[in-house]
Amino acid sequence: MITVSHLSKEFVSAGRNVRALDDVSLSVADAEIHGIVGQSGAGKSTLVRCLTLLETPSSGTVEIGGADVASLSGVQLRQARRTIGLVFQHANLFDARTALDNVAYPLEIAGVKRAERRARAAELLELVGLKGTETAYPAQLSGGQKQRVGIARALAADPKVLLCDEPTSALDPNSTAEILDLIRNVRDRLGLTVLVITHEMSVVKTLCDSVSLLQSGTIVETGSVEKVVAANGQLTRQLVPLPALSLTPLRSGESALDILAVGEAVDRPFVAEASRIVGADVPVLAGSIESLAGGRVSRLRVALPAGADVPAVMAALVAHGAKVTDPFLTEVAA
Amino acid sequence: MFASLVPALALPAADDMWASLKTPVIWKAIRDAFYETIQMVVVSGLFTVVIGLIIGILLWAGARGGILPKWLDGIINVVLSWIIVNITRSIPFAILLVALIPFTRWLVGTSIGPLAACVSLTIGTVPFFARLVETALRDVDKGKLDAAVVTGSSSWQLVFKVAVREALPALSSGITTTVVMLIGYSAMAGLMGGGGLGYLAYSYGYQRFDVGVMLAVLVIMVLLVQIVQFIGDRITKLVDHR
Repeated sequence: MITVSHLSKEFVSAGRNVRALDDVSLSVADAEIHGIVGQSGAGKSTLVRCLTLLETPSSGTVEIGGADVASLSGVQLRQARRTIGLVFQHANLFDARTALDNVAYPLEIAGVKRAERRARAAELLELVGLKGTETAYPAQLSGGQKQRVGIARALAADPKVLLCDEPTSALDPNSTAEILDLIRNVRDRLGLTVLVITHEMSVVKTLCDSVSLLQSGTIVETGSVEKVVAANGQLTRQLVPLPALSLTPLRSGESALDILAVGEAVDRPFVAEASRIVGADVPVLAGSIESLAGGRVSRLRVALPAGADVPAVMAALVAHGAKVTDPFLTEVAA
Repeated sequence: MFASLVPALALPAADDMWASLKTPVIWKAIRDAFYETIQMVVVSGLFTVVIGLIIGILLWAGARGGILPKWLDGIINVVLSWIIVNITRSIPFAILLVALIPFTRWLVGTSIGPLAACVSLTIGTVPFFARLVETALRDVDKGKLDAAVVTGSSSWQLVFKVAVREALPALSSGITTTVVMLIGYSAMAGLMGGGGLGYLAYSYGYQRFDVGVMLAVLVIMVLLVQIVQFIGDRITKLVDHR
């Protein structure tokens, strides 16, 4: 549904070129919820602005439903924008309009008749669970309710793609859970392709089918959540985090190992296996078991005593289906 | 008994002060002057709001970019922003009134009377109001404009269905401020042949030293400003849903 190829965006800032996006390629299948994560400054906002055509990319193409929209202008551009619904971090509702009129706005500018657009807007408000708030102004709604109206407005023009830019970053935990539920619900009912830009890993865990990690303007990891987690890269460490400072209890001579298991491998006795090879009890420094993308993922950090045959332990654990890394090489170095 | 002893000419000034207000003639003059003032304020107010809105929107659109054709943005920033607004705003209104006499005569055929005064009143207040419009529009949250753009709004829809509508409370209080200012300016324009309450207060209060008439006019003007401000505040409240 969405295919982004070799997208780059350069700004001229203070007399020098800043490359906010550098050769970004990305593809999201129909009716999939794809998360784009990255720290602030990674280029998430620029990517959103390029996808919604608020900014013209310096190069590259953005295909939505097979048609390149990045090079359009004028009437065609305005029509292409209607195939994308955008949900903002701060809802960005029109204060001068009621909830119903906010939702009806995209239809109003598209020339849909008053009675028809009001009926459709009322339907959408019901869909997002806000029946009865038609005449309320945004100032009278809570943050979560505003975001619901924002989602209804984004859906009004029957878009093919719903783009959510940090949709829950300004909400409390309860509203966050409700909004994420609503987004998944909307996808299930309407079959939309959803792109969620976020810096919250919990959003990826609870909502996304696939995910990309954006870092200084480039996509460094991408794929289904299962695959990305199993790849044992940066996203794995962010999605299945271990407590901070879990390396400090190491005494001199000891070494640490991170053991990642995905799916059925989670049930295997890695610690017992390691203890057997080492010939002494192997303590667990930290551990985390998460339910992700329908399966389980476990990450354990164990301490091996001084003089242990580390390569032999690693080989044995890998033979049992685990991915084993030295945390000093990954976390501490990063 | 004592009154008969005092010569008529030596009556205390306090009795004299309100003397002319007791004649029906002066009330007719006050009424006529009041209508002239209203005429000046309403006519120039309408022109100011219409022209000021257009210029204010152009100033905002030119500075924002992406709404008007690109080549127009630069022209607007230079011509409107610099020449019209800054230069007219730096000329004191009293001097502008005198300087505009030939132009007024060319435009409406005369430089005397309330309608002629409207020309200079409008030209004097448009830059002020245009700046208020521009500020009001600039204060509209950019996120709302983005929301309007991504839903496929045209420039026209962006300006009138979103920007102006969202800025309505600020525009409403801007119009109130401008009308109050026009009431003050109309008094000044009255001295330059426009007539109205300002001229009445000047000719009676200053030229004849008839304090009573001057005070009466003053009270009327204060009331007028209060009423305008009250109505303006109510309208602002009515359109403000934030």
